[in-house]
Amino acid sequence: MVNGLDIKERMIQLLANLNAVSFDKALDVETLKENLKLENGMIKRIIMELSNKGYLIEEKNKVYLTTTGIIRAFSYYS
Amino acid sequence: MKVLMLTWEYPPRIIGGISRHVEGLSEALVKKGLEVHVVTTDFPGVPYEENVKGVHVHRVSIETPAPDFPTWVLLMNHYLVKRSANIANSIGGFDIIHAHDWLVALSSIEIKHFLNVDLITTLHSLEFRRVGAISSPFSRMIDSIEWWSTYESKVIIVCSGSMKGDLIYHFKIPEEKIKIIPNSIDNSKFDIFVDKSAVRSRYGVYDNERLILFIGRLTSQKGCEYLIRAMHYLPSHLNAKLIIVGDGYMRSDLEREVFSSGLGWKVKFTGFLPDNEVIQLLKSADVLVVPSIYEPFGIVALEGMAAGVPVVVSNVDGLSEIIKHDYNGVHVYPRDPSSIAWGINRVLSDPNYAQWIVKNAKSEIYEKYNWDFVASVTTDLYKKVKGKW
Repeated sequence: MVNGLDIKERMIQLLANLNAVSFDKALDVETLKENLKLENGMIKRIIMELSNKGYLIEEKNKVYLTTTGIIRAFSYYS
Repeated sequence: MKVLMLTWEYPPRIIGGISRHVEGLSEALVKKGLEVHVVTTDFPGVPYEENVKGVHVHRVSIETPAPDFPTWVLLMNHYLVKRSANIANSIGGFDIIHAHDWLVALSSIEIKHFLNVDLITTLHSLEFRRVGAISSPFSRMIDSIEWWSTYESKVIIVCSGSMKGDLIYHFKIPEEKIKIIPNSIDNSKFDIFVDKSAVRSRYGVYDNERLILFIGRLTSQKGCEYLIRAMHYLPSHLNAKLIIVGDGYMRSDLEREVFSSGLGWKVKFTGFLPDNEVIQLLKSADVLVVPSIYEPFGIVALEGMAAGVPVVVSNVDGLSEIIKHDYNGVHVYPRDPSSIAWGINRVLSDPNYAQWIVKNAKSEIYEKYNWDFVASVTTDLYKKVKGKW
């Protein structure tokens, strides 16, 4: 079911499952890119879009979910 | 009596309705003299251990990364078991385990067998109704865990008669094993003064316009797309705007539909809002619409009733039980934009009617839905299960 989601939703789900909820648990952009099989330009664009919407934070080339992002991710299963 | 309350969400981690339910119930049980330990998952910026209004809240961190959500749930349950065992050792065990939904079923069953303590489970909704049919491997797993939790529990608590019917139909559970205890809300939160004009203008709704409010997760279960489509059927003289509070995986699709159908200036998405802001919006709205396709209870309808806003709901499940048509709210057909528009118009075009249903709703909510009552019934159930009744 999650595989049927669009790429933005898959990125949010991946961060939640891997427990990337703070800077010390953040995923680096390269790991995200490999897991989601995305090109450089595309991953940057999606990170910026989700960051602008308040779901995640990109800091020093690492990415983690905000509290809003955590709720968004798990609301899929509630 | 020492109660172990297991839940995957507890404020400020508010994913769905379980969080506020467990909070309200736990605080009310403490007022009845019970010792309540909530074991739940952590949330950034919140202490791992705290006492909130007498409730011992223990939050666990899921340290192990998971490749997918089912594995995440298994790991979460492991950490819930570990923390619960530590607490049991330090306080001399528990008298009852009260679990909430399938997400914590595995830990609750394991702890029950380890500690030899009776288990009660509240099922807040059922997978076969959430997804319509048990077809995917993921749904099969959830459905199976839900059944397992009913088998292992001494009593199953559900919030409505429709949920009880679903359980009997789907899992063939003996009727006497199921107890209906309604949800509730803290009515006092709504006894505040709100500058309606100021609140409405914050969301771009002005005094000559009507505010239609939706609050909920933006998932298919909540039926928000049918409410958006209903905006096309509303008479233009109503001058209505729709504010959508909440977030979820359908948000992008809904936003696309709004803009592609020319409703951009009439519909606003706010995302998640804090509780106090939601209450202010509820008290400033002209109508609250709950267009759900499946809703075992529908706590948001109670919140609307408490806030004094007319409530229009889909005629489904628990919503049909809370709201009586043309008495304390309005029923509309689910998945039917023209019916939803009819219900909104019914309320907005007749202020006397709207006032009447609000008055009926308010008196009913104070009588029927309060945590003190829910805690009394739950305490009696605990005693009965423990054989002390």
